[in-house]
Order: sequence, then structure tokens, then C-alpha cells
Amino acid sequence: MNAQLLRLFKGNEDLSISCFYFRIVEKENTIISVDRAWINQGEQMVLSDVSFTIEAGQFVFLIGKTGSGKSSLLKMLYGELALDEGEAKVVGFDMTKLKSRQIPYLRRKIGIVFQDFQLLTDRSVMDNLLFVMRATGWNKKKEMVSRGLDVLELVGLKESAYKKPHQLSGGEQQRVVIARALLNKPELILADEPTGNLDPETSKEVMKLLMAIAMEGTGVLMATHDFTLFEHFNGRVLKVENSKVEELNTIGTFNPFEDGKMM
Amino acid sequence: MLTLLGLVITIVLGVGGLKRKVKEQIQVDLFFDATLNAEDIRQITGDVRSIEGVYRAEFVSPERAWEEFEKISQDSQDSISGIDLSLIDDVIPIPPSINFSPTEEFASLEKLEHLERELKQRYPQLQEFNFNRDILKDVNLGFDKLIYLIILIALLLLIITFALINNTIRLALYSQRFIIKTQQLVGATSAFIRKPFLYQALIQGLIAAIFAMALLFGILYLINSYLFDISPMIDYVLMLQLLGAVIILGILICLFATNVALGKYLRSRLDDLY
Repeated sequence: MNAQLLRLFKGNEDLSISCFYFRIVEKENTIISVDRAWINQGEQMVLSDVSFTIEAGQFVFLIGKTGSGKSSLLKMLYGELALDEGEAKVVGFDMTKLKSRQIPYLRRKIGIVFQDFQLLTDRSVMDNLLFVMRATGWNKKKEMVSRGLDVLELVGLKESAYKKPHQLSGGEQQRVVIARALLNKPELILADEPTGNLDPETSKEVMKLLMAIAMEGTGVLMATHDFTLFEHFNGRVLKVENSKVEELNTIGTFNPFEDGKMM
Repeated sequence: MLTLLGLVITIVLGVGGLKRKVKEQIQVDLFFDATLNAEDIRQITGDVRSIEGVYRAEFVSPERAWEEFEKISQDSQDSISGIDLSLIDDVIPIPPSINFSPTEEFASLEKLEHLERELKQRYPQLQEFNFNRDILKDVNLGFDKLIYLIILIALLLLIITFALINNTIRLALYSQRFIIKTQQLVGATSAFIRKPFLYQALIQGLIAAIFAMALLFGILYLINSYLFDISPMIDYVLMLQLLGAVIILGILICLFATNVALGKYLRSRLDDLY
């Protein structure tokens, strides 16, 4: 729809129409919208009065010390933790009215890349992907295998499709995890410390991949306590501190496609 | 555990069957005064048959009564040795009587006493309403206490069975917790995750129940062959019903235990799995 609107208004110098077009695009492109949200973990207040939005195609770092509430915010966004006050909309789902039977459908639009959500070690890479597809409603074997190979190609690991996770390096395993998150063409990727247990060189590879995914139109929200990452990679930065979330300004321009071969 | 449960249920059914058979043996003798002759009493027998609570009633002539008395005497000669059983002037000292069996529902002390009052009111010539009160007390009190005790044991066994099966299933699910969590995080519905586990529980419950019943029938056969005859207690139609009940019970326990354990893992958070 965005492409059609663009063709319609291309060359039109009427400012009011241009502004109207911009507002329509902005509204459709908002994948996360959080307004004065309060999040508790049990009886303890973790985050208060949090407001921010994330648009499609944006890469956003979520930084803060361990225990600051980054993971709690992510958990609220994928429906594991309830919103105590305020409003939040995630990939079209109103989190204040979300019923437990709707949570699977929310999660099918989100790709989750967590440090402790690893591959199943008793099966091959392809079987890990097929497992996810079966669980999310796919049933045609040919289409499933084709999609599996597609996402593996995106992350540069097509030739490792039939290897077991223990036969891959840490960085390769993390790339497979990212491929797994891309299977259902999510609108949003939530990543929690995806480079947490990787060396600096491998971390860079994973970061390049995530940035490329964002540039293709998927929103990426990545929690990390590694402050050096956003010095090298371009993106908005939301800082979690003292139960509040504030946006920081960063300077940096990085395009993964300009840096030579990605893998 | 299912075999034990089945055994307990068999005992309850057997005791119930035995109680029924004993009740059916209860007999009441009605003796009337001399103003009524054999014909009058024969007529009354017909009326007694139609009274509520009377299962079977028959007229017992003095000759028949004497024959049965002689038979009993011959069987237990030692206890009444020395007694002269020859008739004096060929007159049988036993008057005509009515012998009836009460229905199972009326085979209790209060109900028979009520029946006695009713019959004495209807037939003022009724002198004696005889039955063995002691057997009746044993049947109603003793058997009932036994059945309550056995039912209590059955309930305890049921709880233990459920706990054992639940623990086994929870251990099995523990080894699958990452698979369950992966499915949840990628967007599998609760029903999709539960389905294979519940199907497995159904098959396991069925196999367990079949083994349990095979073992139970084996035990009953051995008891019958080598210990004592339990065939009067066994109603084969009831045993088939028991087979069905144990199969259904086995399946239900497995399904319920699996569902409860699954619920725990479906509600747990990713951090809790480590």
C-alpha cells in the first residue's frame, strides 16, 4: 500500500496532501507503541511511566545494567508479562486487552532471539526449523523445506541445513536462531543479549545480520548491556535506568551492505 | 496399582453379591392358631404372595414339614441321639404353615418387623412370625461395615495411583520442557502443544489397564484354583463391567495427570526451566 501511495503523490507539491500521506504511512508503520506503561514483576515495580514507539525498519538498542528491567520490558512485549497500567500496542495487538489464547498469534508476528532460547540439540538445523513451522500451522512438507532453505540462505548457512547444532560454532548457532526467528516473516524481532556469549568478531557478524534485517523493513529491538555496540552500529538507543526509559542521541552511520562481504 | 484397585473393586462386588445371596436365603415361617384349617391357610398363602416385600410364598403342609424335620434329624443324628421320632397315634405335631422369602429390599430387621405387624393386623389368627434374627443382623451390619472399609481402601488406592502416575508423567514432561517452551515462544497454541502428550497418555492408560486386568484375572484364577472357591461371589457380567471400568479409570487417570503436569510447564517462565 505504501508503494501505491508513493506513486499517487509523486511530484505533487501540495504540502497538505504530503503531510496527510506522511501521517498515514507513519500510522501503518508503527509496530510498537507504548504509552505511560507500568510493569511489575510480582509485587515489585520494575518499570514506570514508559513511553516510546518503534517503526518498521528501525533498529533500536535497549541498554541498561543487568537487572534494570530490559528483559521485563521485552517479556511484556511478547506477552509473557502483563501490563499493569498504561497502554501498549505491539504488531497490531492491544496488550491491555490481550487474552491468553491470542498470545500464540502475537508471537507468530514476532521473531524471538534470546540468549537462553537456543536450538534443540537433539535434531538438525533443518529439523529445528521444521519443528517451528509445524508448531505455527505449516503442514506442507515441500513448502516448509523450501522456506527453511530460504531463511538459511539469508543468514548464509544453507550448506549447514542438515548439521546438528553441536557441529556449528557459537556464531553460526546464533545465525540459525535468527533464521528461525525469520521463518514466519515477522514484523518485529526481539533480541535479548544475542551477542552475549560471543567473541567481538562473531558479535560483529551477528550485528551486521540484524541491521540488514532492519533495513529490509523488519523492526528490531535489541537489549544489550554491551554499550560499545552502538558506538559501531547505527540505531536509536533507549536507556533503562531507575525504572524509567529514556531515548539517547547517538552519532554513527553504518550500512552493512557497504562493508564488503557480510559473512 | 490399577490391579490392586481392580482387586478391591472385585472384592466389593463379590461381597455385595454374597450379601445378596445370603439375603435371598432368609426365610420366614408363619404359624396360625388352631381355628384355621389347612385349606384356610392355603388360601391365605395366595394373599401373602401379593403383599409388598414378599418374594416367594408357599404353603407347607404338616406332612411336608415332618419330612423335612426327619431329614434334618438324620443329618444331625449325634446332636439329637436318644430322641424317639416315632409319631404318637400317627398325629404329626407340626401345624400347617406358610413359608416365604422376603425381597432383598425387605430383608432387614425393621422391614420384617413392620411386615410382622402388618400381617398380624390382617390375620389375627397369626400366632408366630419366625425368622433367624441373628443372621439378618450379621448380613446387614457386618457386610456393610466391610464394604465401607473396602471402599475407603479403594479411595486411598485411587489417590496413591493418581500420585504415582502423576509423578511419572511429570518426570517425563520435565525431560521435554525445552521442547514445550520452544513451541510456546514461537507461537504454538496450547491445544497443539497438549495434543501429542494427551494422545500418549491415552495409549499408556489403555496398555496399563489391559495389563492390570490380565493380572487381576490371573490372581482370581489362582485363588479359585488353589485357595477357595470364589465362584459364588463372581458375577461374570459384573466382571466384564469391571474390565470396562478399570480401562476407563486407567485412561482417565493418565489423561488427568498429564493435563495437570502439562499445565504447570505451560505456565512456567523461560527462567524457571533452568
